[in-house]
Amino acid sequence: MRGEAIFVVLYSVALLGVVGLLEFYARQPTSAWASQVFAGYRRAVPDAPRPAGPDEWPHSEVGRFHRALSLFVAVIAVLLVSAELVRHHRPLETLALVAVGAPHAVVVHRLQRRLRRRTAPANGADHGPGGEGGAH
Amino acid sequence: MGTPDTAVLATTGDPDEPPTDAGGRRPRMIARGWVQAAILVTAVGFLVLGLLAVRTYQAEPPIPDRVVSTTGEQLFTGEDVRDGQRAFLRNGLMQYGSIFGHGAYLGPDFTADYLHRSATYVQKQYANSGDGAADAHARTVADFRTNRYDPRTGTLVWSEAQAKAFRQLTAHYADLLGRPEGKQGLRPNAVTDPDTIHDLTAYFGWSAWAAAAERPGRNYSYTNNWPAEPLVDNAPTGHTVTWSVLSLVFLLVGAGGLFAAFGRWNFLGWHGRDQRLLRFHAPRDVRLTPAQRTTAWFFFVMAALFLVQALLGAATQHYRADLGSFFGIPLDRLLPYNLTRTWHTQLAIFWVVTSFLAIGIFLAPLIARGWEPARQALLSRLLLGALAVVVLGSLLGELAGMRGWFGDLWSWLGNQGWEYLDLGRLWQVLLVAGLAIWTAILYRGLRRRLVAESVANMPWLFFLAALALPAFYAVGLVATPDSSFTEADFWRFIVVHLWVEDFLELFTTVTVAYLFVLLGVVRERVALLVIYLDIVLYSAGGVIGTMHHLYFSGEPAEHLALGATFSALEVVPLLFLTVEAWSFLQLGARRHSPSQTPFPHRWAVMFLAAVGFWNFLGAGVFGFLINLPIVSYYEIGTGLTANHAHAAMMGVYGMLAIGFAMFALRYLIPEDRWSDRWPRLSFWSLNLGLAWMSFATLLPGGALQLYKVLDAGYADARSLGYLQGRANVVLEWLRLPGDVVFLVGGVLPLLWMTWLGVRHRVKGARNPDAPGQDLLFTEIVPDDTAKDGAAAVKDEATTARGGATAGAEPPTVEERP
Ligand code: HEM
Ligand SMILES: [Fe+2]
Repeated sequence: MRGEAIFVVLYSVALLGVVGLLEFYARQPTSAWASQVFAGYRRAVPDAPRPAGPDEWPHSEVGRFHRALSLFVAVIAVLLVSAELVRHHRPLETLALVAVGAPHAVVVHRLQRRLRRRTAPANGADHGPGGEGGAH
Repeated sequence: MGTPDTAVLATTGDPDEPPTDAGGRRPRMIARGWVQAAILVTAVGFLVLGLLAVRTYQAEPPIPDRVVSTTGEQLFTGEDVRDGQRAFLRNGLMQYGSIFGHGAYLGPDFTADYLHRSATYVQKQYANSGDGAADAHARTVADFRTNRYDPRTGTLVWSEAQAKAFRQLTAHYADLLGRPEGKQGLRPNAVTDPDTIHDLTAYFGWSAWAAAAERPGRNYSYTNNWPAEPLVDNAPTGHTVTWSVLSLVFLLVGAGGLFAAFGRWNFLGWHGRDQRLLRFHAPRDVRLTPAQRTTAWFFFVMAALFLVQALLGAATQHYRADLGSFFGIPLDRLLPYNLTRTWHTQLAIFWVVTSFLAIGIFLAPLIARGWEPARQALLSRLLLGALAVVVLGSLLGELAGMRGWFGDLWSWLGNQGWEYLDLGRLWQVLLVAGLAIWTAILYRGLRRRLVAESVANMPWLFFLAALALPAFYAVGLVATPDSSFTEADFWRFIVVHLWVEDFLELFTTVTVAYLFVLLGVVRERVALLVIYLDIVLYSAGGVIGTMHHLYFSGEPAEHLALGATFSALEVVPLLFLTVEAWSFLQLGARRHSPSQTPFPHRWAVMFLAAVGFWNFLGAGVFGFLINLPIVSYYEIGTGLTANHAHAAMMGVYGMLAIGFAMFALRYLIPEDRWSDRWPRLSFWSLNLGLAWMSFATLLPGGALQLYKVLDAGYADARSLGYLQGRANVVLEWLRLPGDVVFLVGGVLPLLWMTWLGVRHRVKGARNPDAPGQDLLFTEIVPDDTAKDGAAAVKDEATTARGGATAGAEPPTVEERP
């Protein structure tokens, strides 16, 4: 295996990590009242408000933002791997490149379907921000 | 950091409207401990910075009066070295290659390049010399590492072999810099005068000497052994390794400490009960003042400059992908790489600053509750005109200066040539003056409010944060083409670093916090706490952290030690503020908005959220990636720096500038012309395009180049040969799709929107005599809104708060059961 192919394989694995991290962030509650950081405070304030739900603006955008980035990162990885397959394709290289490219392709496929589904309901209008303050 | 609990207690009661004190001023709204902590941390930081400035002048590498060979032949003089530096700057070579790793990345690092080439020649001479061939390496090392500079006579002695190398390299640089066919990024025949070439070679040779010769009494060189060069035994010093480890420890302790403290105490005093119900004024109901209306032009100019800046970036990038021509056009004759890069980096500062100026002008009347002095609009139009003159003048000056059209006035009218402070001195002075005029405009607009406020309160903080911008830009005037490189680099980074990593962060926090206060979604007291916390956190690491740019530029080891530890602390607020950013956005978020008027700033808030994201990734992660001295030792001036610089500068301040524009445009563009389509397209294109740039090219290209440094040495990894190698070129082309998305989908819609702002700018300005009021929202007494949204609207126009009559009415604080 030649150096460049090794590099692309390693980098694609690293990008898989980036995709994973972005997905992790996409799922994190961004509501201040749900954050780990506030754990101590929540204990101290028994009647802290209910955390904002994940589908309330702007929290609804957190998931979408990170997922769209993660989709693009995966697209980059697929492109990079494909370009490398054109340039270097001894059997071992091909095997390794396909092996790291495949999960990225799966990510691309799943994420774009997911994002499409989420975009379908009109999101264009200005929503009032939803949030903590609501009744509880 | 004071006692946070009392900070909260001290302001309980009537948080936004404490009674005025005897002098008619609204008293401080925050515990004194916070103010003291902020002042103390900043003052200590600058005290240390002052000491480090003194040490810079004491310990920088000397420029010998003359350099002679062992036979007594004079190779060059100190004046030649200084002339060489002037020629280096005048010809825009710092925007082509670099010295001590600082400058542009297409051309070689002239320090490392000279060192590597001359050491190779010297070693070859010894190896061929017959007698001592066996210890050729040892003799080379001795030639370069032994410090044969005598401060009493001002004479530096080079070996006969080094002298021969100098003559050979003069021929080499004559060929590199004066190539008649061009095709290396510079103009064809860029530098041909033999005397100039001699001086330039002397300058490079001097810097290479400083990079290998041991400091008196030390066993490492003036540059802490940078660059890595096995031929002369240049390897990381003990300091470099030790302080890398210690700075990691500092970061972990700092972050852990802050999170622990934050989890335990309710620093910010957020609690669910302190919430108002309010009605956002629909943009069409908000009447703008004459000065506010002029900002439409500012934002249009901003977007136009952004477009030019990004296009120049594309041209600059093209040189890395294909040095030969721009799709058949010999671009290097008209716009050589060093010119496009100069313009690209200068315009990045200009367009961002344009937006900052505009938002200041836009916010001042909101802060002054609708009041605006006469002729404020005229002043702001004059400011824009002056800005246009400086931008155009300085850019054209750089073109003319590099071509030598200004003769001896090159540094005044043309280009001083220090990267990021490239512009001619006249333009630099004018820019400082323009920024100062801007603060004067702000002062006029705010003065009624300022006289009625404690200096520790938000109106003053806003004004002081604005004042810091010209103050720190002016520091750049200390660096001149005649300063030694080490001195100039010190002052240059006071500007570059303290702007982006301290005072712009501060201006950002204050402005964004104020936006939310003006929108009524964040309490003034909470905003104030966030601001003070930010001052403490950013200043704690950021001020002394400036030295993370100066590990290897001729400073003594203490700069490296302090720079490494304190800049590691800079990451702490970035970790913390990403959490905070979202919390902040949602502080204002209300699920059951009682009002029929929706929140109008969806897209401004989205851009601010992007600021938070890129602050974390671009500044925090990509910045820290290259921050440890041991990493920087190999990495400095390679692709990973470009990766960080783009993700941080565009990601944070670019997105912020656009977020400001979105906020103001929402009021400038009439409702029936406003469409969410453009900001949405622009938002996604800019973010995805930037991410593409980073992950497709800059990050992998940088990583590959870093590997090359470790594998083949720094000089090699920075050579045109490496950059033009297949692996790198493939990566350079890979960014093209992302760049197209960025430009077409991101910048053009923005330009279109700002044009709409100019073209259809809302008519009719606010009557200056109208009573003061919160312009952007109305508080609503909650009980009544349950029945009827329109009833019992407590229009604040009638309360005439602020000013000397403050405190006439208590605020409506909703107490939920
Ligand atoms: C929004 C904040 C920031 C912006 C806009 C920014 C921007 C930049 C820019 C433009 C450069 C290139 C300077 C040059 O070419 O000489 C740079 C270099 C650097 N930055 Fe940042 N930066 C930010 C935050 C940070 C943070 C938080 C860290 C780490 C704690 C950091 C660490 C570094 C280092 C070590 C370099 C030097 C790299 C070199 O010279 O090769 N930066 N930054
Ligand atoms: Fe910095």
